[in-house]
Amino acid sequence: MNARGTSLLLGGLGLGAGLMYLFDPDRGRRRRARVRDRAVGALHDLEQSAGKTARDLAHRGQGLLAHARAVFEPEQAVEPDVLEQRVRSEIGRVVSHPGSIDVTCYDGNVVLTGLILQEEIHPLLDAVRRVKGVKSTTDWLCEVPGAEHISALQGGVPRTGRRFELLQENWSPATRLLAGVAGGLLAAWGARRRDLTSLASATAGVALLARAWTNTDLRRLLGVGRYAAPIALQKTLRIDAPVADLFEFWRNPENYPRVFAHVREVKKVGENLYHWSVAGPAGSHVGWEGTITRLVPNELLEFRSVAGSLVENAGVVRLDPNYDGSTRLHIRMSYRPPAGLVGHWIAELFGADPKSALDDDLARLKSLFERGKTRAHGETVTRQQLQPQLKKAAAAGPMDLMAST
Amino acid sequence: MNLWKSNSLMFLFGFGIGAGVMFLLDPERGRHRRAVLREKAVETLEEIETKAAETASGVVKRARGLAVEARRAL
Repeated sequence: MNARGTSLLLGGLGLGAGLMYLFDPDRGRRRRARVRDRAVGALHDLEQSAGKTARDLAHRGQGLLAHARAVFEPEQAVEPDVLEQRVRSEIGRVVSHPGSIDVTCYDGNVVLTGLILQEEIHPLLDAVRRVKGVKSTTDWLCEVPGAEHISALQGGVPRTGRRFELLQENWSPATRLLAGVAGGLLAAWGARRRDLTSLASATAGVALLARAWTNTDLRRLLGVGRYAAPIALQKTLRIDAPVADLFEFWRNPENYPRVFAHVREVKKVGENLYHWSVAGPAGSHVGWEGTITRLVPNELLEFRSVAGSLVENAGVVRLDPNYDGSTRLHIRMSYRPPAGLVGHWIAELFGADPKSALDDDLARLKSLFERGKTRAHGETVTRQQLQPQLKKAAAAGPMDLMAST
Repeated sequence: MNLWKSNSLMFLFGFGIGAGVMFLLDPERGRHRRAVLREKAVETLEEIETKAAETASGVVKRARGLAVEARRAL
């Protein structure tokens, strides 16, 4: 078989499989509708992004033109309110509580009053002096060593001053477009040749393209160290069962695999230490060890994986009683996939979708408590089957019952 | 011409195999379809087995009959 024949065979194989998936006699119509919806959604997103980028490019172009004009034109007196806005804009870049500072301008002089943290005063005065149109500054600021007992200085985010655009976490639409085009060209150039330099340039190009496309730090994308981005999931649902019954279920993790189809096994391996095994991508299983970190009877349960787990995770289950005797279950959890967001996407590609898994399993729990039975792992489980274990766990004493705060 | 023909056949062959494999390995309906196919295959095999046994026993009976008739004639 020649090379062309092989590629035609593989092309036919892919096309046949794809068309059969989309024109499946049972599910084809739904799949085509979903593809159509996603395409329409993607087009809308693209339209919106294109609009944003065009506006950003136009504004930046205007800014560059104004800068260029300012170089050649003689310096003119700046209106006080324009100068005030320029100064305020600069304050926002260097001060953690810009609202606590008042700015008054007259004849190019800037008077600064209000409260400021001691370590921020010099960066602020330097930044204000550099503002175009400022001739002098008057510092009537009240410096304080710390924010304790001062309501105006509570909260706030430390500022880093002006940073080079490419070093910022969020890139502007124009920067994303330019960096994406540059990355694409670099990758295309690198892919056409077969030496080490080209390989390096292709890798750099792909990295730049991915950074621009996702607008996410590369370290977060790849899940490097503390930059690994956690994936958060949450769900609230009403279950027609008393809080106490649901709490009894949740406080005994060994019962989870009987009801939750995506949890393969939860085994107690020590005092308040459980080994978890859950469904992973492409039929695999992912395991870790976790503990219950907080347990408030009939109210709350918090859990966390032990340090160094393959999939670091933490979560909280909150149970609130409703007026009609039912319970509002709220679950919130987050986990760090092993290879960051890229790992998460790869896992999704191979069929692991934690959000759907959570939804499915909570639907099973609702069915178990409201209809008395559910199906998991191909078996029917009834509440009566779980109840003795629950009672046994409750009788085991304080176990993990920690009403700590 | 021959190359073109063989390439077209190759593409059609791949297309058919791809469609068949996706039909049977469909993420939602594949398991059910494979089970139906398995059952039909088992059923067909059993039918063939029964038919073969019937045919064999018929052939044996007829052979015996022929042998008896031949013996009588001689």
